[in-house]
Amino acid sequence: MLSQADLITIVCFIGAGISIGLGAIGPAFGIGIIGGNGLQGISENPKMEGPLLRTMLIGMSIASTTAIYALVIAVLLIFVITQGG
Amino acid sequence: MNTYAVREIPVEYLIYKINIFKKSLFIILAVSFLSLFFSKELSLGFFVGGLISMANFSLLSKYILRMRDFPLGKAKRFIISRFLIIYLIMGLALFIGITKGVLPFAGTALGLLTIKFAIFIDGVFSKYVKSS
Repeated sequence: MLSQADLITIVCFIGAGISIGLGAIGPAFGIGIIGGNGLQGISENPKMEGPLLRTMLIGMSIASTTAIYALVIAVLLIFVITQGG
Repeated sequence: MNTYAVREIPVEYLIYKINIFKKSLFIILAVSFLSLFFSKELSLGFFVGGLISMANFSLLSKYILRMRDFPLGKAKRFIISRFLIIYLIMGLALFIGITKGVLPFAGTALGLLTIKFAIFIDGVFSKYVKSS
């Protein structure tokens, strides 16, 4: 029979896995789409390479913010809440 | 052996990157100094997190330049794989932060968002201050 502490630990680890898994997939795909569409724009209009590259950089940096939040939640779940009991 | 065509880097891209670095360095130093009065660990965590954030931003900018020479499908796979490497680096930084204690973790987590703050400030600055 599992104790309450064991149950909390199990649920925390499952939650951390879901947080990391889903939290990283979305931004990763988003960054891939930004990169692909940006390159397509550059190939259609090479003179706009500078502004397009800059926009791609901004978009990719902002898109990765959600991944950082998910990472922070997952690390909190694994190391703080499980140790707290 | 892969050889990449040597192409010039757009000046606008370089200038923007340097501006963001300047702003993020200012944010890191200012917040680290101010948080010294509250907690040394928080200040150290923010400083380290901010430096890692700047390093990741630099890596991302280099990967974007390398991506220009790839075909579309390969470029997408390349940037996704490199993003996951950057993500692992951030995870490692947070792991080191949390093993030292809870407070550096909070500072490190905030420090990792420094580049986002710098981009936001740059956007606000360029839109409202320069236009006035």
